[in-house]
Amino acid sequence: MADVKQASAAQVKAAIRRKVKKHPEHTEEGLNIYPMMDMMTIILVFLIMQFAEESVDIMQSEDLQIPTSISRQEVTDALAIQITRADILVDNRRVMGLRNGTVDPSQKQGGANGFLITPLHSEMTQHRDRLKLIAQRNPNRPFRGSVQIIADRRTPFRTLSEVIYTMGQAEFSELHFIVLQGGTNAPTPPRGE
Amino acid sequence: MSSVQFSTRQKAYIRKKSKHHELDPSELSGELNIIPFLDIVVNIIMCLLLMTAYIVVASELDARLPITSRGGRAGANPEATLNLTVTIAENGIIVAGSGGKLAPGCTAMQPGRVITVANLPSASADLNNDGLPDVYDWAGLTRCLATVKLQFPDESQVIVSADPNVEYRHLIGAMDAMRADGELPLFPAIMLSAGVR
Repeated sequence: MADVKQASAAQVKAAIRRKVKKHPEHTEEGLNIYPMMDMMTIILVFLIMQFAEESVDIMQSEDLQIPTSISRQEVTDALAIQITRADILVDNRRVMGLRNGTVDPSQKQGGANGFLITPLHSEMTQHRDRLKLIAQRNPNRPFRGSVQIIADRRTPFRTLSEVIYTMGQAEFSELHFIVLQGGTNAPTPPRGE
Repeated sequence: MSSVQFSTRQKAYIRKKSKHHELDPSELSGELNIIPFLDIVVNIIMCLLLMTAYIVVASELDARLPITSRGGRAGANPEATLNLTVTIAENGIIVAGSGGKLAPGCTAMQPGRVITVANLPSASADLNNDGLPDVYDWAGLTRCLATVKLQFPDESQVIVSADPNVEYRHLIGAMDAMRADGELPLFPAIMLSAGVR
């Protein structure tokens, strides 16, 4: 009959080592995703920068279809005036309504033959005063009297000239007409007329 | 033959020490698990790329309001300035200068009601920049202004006006036609007038 001995501490340690050896050392098997993360972050930053540079906030709709031009001039940051078929908006705030792109005579000084649009003039005067105040405090932002005109392509010239005349009366004389980049091969925009 | 027997305590100790732990990927390298962050970044990029489909590529056309002058300079000859005016009427484009309206061909003056650049026949209405049919002969206007530019090479200013019902897109068409003839600049300093004729 074999002798049964109580295991010593060294034998216990040897048993532990044997058992641990059975499990192979873990090796790194997954892909290194750090370069991918770097790339993603760079793309993200690039896209965010590109979005931030878009200084024109245009949401085309049935009431606002921007005309197309061959101009490739970069958009200047200025106070935005939107003329849609139904409204006039200054800095994305609705100032007054339009009836099929025309100004109601009651909204004009002098009635039907008038050129000065009263609600727009008072709004523009407030903006002029605000911008002049900023110019006084900050010489890096002088008052140039420049506005962005974002108008529907079907707007009659009469309405446009009334708006521009009103701008002039409020000391805004530098006009930047916002257009879509296009050429002779430009895609046909959705028909809404 | 002698054999070794482990006591219950020794067996428990061996089990404890030799227990294999399945490690989390983040624990392997001992660094932060960046996979959730990567998921967020990928989702944001997807959203931004989808939004680009709705972004319009915009540019601008500059114009100014005419400056009213009070009194003229002593000795200034008003006839010496060109005062080029382009008016978009319902039936064509009128080009005028200090001396009067230009006749078709843009080489001579003509009194009375005259249309310098007549509309295209509606049957052959050309497609303009926005892909819509346009009856105005913008190429004809460019040719006319190129002729004027040859005589006044230093002049760059033009006043634009239109009939009340003329659509804004035609004004943009006119501005495109007046600014340059291909690479050659024509009259890029555009001023808008209220269109009172």
